[in-house]
Amino acid sequence: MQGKISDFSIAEIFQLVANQGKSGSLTIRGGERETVFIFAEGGIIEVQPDRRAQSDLLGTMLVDAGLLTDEELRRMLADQAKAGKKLGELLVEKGKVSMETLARYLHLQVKESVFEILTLKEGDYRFEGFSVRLPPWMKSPIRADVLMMEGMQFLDEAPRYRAKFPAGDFRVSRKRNAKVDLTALPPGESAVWSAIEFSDDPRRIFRKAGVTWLEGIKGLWLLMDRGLIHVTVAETAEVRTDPGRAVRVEIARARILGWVRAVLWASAAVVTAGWIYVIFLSPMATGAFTGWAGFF
Amino acid sequence: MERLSCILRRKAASGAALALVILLQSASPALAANEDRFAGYTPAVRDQAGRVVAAAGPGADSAFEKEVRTLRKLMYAQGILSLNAVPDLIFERAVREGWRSRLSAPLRTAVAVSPLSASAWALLVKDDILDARIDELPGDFEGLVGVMRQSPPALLGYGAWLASYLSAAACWFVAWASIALFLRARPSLEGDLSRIIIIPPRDFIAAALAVVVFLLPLLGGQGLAVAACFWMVLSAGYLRRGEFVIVTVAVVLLAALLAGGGIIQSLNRMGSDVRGGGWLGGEGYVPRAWPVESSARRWSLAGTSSAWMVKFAKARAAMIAGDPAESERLWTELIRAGKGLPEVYNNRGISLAMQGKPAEGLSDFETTLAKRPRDGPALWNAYQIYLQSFNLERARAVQPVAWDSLRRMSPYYFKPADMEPGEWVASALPAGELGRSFVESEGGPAYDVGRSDYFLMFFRPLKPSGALAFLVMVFLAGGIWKILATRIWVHTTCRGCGTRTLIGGARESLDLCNLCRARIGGGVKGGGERDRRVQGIGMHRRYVRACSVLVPGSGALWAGKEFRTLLFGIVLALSMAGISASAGSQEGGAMISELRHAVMWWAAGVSALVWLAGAAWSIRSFGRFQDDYNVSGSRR
Repeated sequence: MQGKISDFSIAEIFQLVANQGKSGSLTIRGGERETVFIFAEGGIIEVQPDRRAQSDLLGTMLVDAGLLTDEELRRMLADQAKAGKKLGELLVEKGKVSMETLARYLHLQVKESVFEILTLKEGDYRFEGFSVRLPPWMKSPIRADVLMMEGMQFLDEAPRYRAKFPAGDFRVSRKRNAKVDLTALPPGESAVWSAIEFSDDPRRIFRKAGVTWLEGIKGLWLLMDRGLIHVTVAETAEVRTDPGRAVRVEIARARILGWVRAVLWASAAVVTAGWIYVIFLSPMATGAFTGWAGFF
Repeated sequence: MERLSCILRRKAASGAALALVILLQSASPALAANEDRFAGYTPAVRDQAGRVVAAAGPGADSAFEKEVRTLRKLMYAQGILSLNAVPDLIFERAVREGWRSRLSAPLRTAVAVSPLSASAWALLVKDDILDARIDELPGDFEGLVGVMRQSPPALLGYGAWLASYLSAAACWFVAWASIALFLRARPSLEGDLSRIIIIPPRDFIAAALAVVVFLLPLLGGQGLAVAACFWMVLSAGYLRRGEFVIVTVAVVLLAALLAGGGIIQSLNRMGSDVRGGGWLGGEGYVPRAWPVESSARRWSLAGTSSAWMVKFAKARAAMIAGDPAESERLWTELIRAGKGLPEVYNNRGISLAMQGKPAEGLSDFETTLAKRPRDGPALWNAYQIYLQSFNLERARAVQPVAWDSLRRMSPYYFKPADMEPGEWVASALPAGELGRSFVESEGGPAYDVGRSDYFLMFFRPLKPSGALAFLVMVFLAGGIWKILATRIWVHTTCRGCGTRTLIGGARESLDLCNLCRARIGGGVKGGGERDRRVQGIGMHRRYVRACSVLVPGSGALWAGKEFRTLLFGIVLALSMAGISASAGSQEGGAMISELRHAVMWWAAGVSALVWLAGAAWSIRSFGRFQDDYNVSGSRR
């Protein structure tokens, strides 16, 4: 089965495969990319992103999330070429990531790929049927129809959330002294909030939080709406500073704020003391309170 | 007070205006005491009173006692009950001549001729306490209580003092509570203010804005009640339930202050005639002017409902001036007007007896005894008539009960064995009648609520009609804000370390942060976060300590001791009220001034101790609270 996306939309293709419980591969080409989805009985079990899109690859995702270093990834890719295994299998074997973490990031990879191809307006597709077994890390395939619904919803909301942030690259940081009760936040928002401590780059924040870009941008917007985060435009040539510098700056700033606050409240205390004197101890006040003496 | 009220109404707090008030107050008639203090009495009484004052000296003196006894005889011959100017003048002499420290003995002798001098009794009680004269204290205290029962001015004065003192205490409590609670809520409030600020640096602007918000009612010239309510409503959302109880108590006390202001205003209006030797002073002081009867004056002693009291006092003045015929006429008018009290009949009986009409006098005494069988003065006076008419059998029958009743009359301390024929015991205006008139009068304190000095001082710019509604609104607004704060996103501040957290849907359970709950102390991580937390803990500790010193008890609020802090606030307010209700001008005469001075210094000393103890307790409570949660520790 093959055709053009303009004739038969991606949502309809996914729905068809899901409804008929097909197994096989669905290749979608468009926007100079080729993405392959593997289906098992109508559910997605795996995705193979275009090799040209480095950021969508599992290794990059794990590096972004801080679970692997660049060096470790290079070594793993070299081993993978020799062993002929998948990167995920190798990582679990070597104990770099747990099975659960791998499953989480593969799931994320599928979601990100699906959400991305939903934006395609032009391109073509081809489905090839063959029997597929569930991989060991997956208990049940990802329901394509559910994913599609979720993706469509985020696609509708995404422009609105994105418009709240500066055009182009931007950076995110927690506001000074901002602390939140994580149990009171919705799960997605809570994960994004926790991940902000890890990085100020939204892409890495979302990877750390294990959410897609669309989910992440919504979470950021909600945090911004609560007044918890700062958003700044990214500088073109970022200079990496030492991690302790920010804390030192914050401590110095807190000290200055403490002094300013002390001076302000000392002044307020003087004014209040004057006020207390006027209403309780001044001749005018005591005259009102001691009128009783005139009776004797 | 009226002049003061006018000035307050215009909100003119300038120094010049204040100086004018003080000047005018100091020129009030009560202090213009250089004139003849015995004007209005017969020449014999005046001369003897002068001799008593001149004979007084340090320590006990038999010559002085003899002069006092002579004066007492003269007084009873005229039906005079008390010459309050005698102890006043003796006190002034003692102060002037430097034997004030040995005044107690002559003063105790002098109260025999001035039993209705509340000042003299109060001074004796004070000296007994300070000099540890335990044996004299019960008698002097009984005299003081007796004056309250027998003398309307003293009853009014003590009522006014109690209302003033409690009002001052309520004001102090409200001021203390509202400031302490605002300081408790300040960090969270500052956090929420920073959320609405758009321009950086937001935290600096928020800090300044919190100060501005605090000072707003002060700079706006609002009264204590309005300012305190503003602070309490703002704070309510950030407070624990126990702290909200303090808000409730403060609002209730403000409502009580409204009532207290009305009572004091009513008493002031009632007592306006007392000052300057008005008619109520007739029993111990010489009246200098009589109020004009007018129905236009709503509930005053010169009003129609209480005009009989003025007539009573005029009749008494006529008696002591040696005009029994005039006094008899006035007593008869009172009886015809339906005010045939036992006191009126007894006094008319004396007037008749003084005019040589013993039979008519005896008839009045018997009428008195028919109305009040154990009336001491009437029994004594009847006994005197029986003796004069040689009705010895009847005299013998009456004597035991007459003597016994007379001896029991506090604060007069009559000694029937020393009394001679021709000494009459008159009846003073019953103090209870004054209270009854006060309670039953139209309007009364409720009418005066909005006109009181307290209202003008503490409730401006509110209107009298809206003050109570305002307090209800304040309570409701505070409650709504407190409930709302548990449902919307607001800041909470950890009581242990001062960390601010934005939370939603919860409040009290989260006023301790997770790190404090886990007793992590200053140790968070190996990195810079630890330094930041340690700095935050240090700043929070300094803040709470500063608050504890400036507003004692507030540190205990951070430690979660709301109800003990409430009790401390009440103790502090009661001690501070002692200063406010005693300091100030010299109104009330020299003896009252000295008493006020003494009370003020005692209250100041006690307040200083309470303040220091409260500050130390607050700091210690907070320190222990931090120790309990290992906040000061540095476990990693």
